[in-house]
Amino acid sequence: MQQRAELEGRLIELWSEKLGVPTVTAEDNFFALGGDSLLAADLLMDIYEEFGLEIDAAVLFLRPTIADLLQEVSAV
Amino acid sequence: MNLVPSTDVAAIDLARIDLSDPALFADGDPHAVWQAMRQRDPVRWQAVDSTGFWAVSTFDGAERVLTDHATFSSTGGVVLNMLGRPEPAQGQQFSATDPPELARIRGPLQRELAMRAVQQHAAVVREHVRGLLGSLSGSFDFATAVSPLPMAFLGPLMGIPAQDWPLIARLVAMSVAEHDPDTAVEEGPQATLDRGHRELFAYLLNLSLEHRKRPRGDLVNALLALPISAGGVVANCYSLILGAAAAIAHVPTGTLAELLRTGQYPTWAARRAHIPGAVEEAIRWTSPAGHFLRTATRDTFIDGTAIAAGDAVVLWIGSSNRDERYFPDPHRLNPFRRGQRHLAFGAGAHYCIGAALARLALRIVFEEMFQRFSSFELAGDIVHVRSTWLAGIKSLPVVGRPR
Ligand code: HEM
Repeated sequence: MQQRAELEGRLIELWSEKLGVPTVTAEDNFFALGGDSLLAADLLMDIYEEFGLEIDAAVLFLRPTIADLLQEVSAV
Repeated sequence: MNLVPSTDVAAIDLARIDLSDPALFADGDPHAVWQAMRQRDPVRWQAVDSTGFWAVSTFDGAERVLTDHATFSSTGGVVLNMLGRPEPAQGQQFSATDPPELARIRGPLQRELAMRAVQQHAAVVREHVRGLLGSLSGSFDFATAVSPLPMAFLGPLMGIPAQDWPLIARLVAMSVAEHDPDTAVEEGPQATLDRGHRELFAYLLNLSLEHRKRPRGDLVNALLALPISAGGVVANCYSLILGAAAAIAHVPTGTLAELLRTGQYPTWAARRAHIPGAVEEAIRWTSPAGHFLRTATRDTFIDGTAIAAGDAVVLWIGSSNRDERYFPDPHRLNPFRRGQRHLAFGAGAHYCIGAALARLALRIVFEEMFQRFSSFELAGDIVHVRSTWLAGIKSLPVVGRPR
């Protein structure tokens, strides 16, 4: 649970940094906020490097919210 | 699209032609339209909704646009379905980057794909091609039979397993032929493009993560070793896979259709020593990558027509490769044309990075086809791809007689 909250906080930080958007919520859509496929790839690579987490890229590309990513991680 | 003009060129009213309409390429007669353009209006403004592009039809015009990188930039996207949309990959992906930065990304890959380097794959390619053609006889669809040709190199070059081919083939089709009814999703062409693009990106991102954990020493690892972002790596994988998978199978399919129409198959099959020249002519004549897009960086002229800075310019390779000023009797598929340059692989700094590999694979396909089949007969209707970019045939029903 602790790890999940930490991850959520860090994901929100990463998203707002990459997208240049000050406030991001767990329900926001990455592409609707101005993200593109290249940024999405950078983001997943960062998550892999920082947390050692391999998230199936299809999740971010097809269900692009932080809530979906977290759900995917807890299912792993 | 019809690969030879079949209507009266003089009767074509260019004002009513829309080169951005995929229907022209599925059911119309683009070679007649291009011939009319070369004669009457070689650089013509094509309006598209609130925007538009200059359509360049001549060999000289197209070559100029392809090679004058300072005036005609690739950073605004290189295919028509990018018209009016920002290109996120500029500066990171070779197809969307101008010289001199281009060399930094392209150099390492270019070495791996040079003729000498690809020669080592010849045996694997031949084995794959034999697998495709070796058991065929009687009636079959030639276009379907050769469509997995790209797997001959997607495995060795990018580590893509054979069982993923149907998925890759579908996603590539969604990304380059978004108007084709066999490909398009219900929500329409834009949704097809977006979905194909995202799913392919997701696939390639997983593939590069795999390569990162377990290096294979292939092109994906060469990209991972470059000083570019993860997004840049995946964007280049995307270019590679579209380049490698989309066009090549249309060369043998389009050529066979024409050989059957003209009755030339036995002549071609009997002269195997001429295959390299015949393959080059087949590439010119089919020109499966139909157009490329550039953005003018300054005011200029093409063939005497004034172009303003910021204008989109589309050069039609299918047209420039049939320019009667360069190719006498241009619509004739003539294996004895010698020493003639063509633009099917582009020109200049973006010249197709896979050209050596494509030539190698195509020679093998023609050798194996002529070796296996003494004759073919057309056995049904030919169906053309509905796309402004991909010129090709998606269904060629034949009866083939093995030797
Ligand atoms: C008959 C088959 C092929 C045709 C007709 C073809 C055609 C072309 C053309 C016209 C260009 C120039 C694009 C431009 O100027 O913007 C190009 C670029 C490219 N091709 Fe091919 N190609 C073929 C096969 C391949 C293969 C087998 C590969 C991969 C191994 C490949 C990979 C690429 C890549 C990555 C580029 C972008 C290069 C750059 O922008 O610097 N192509 N191709």
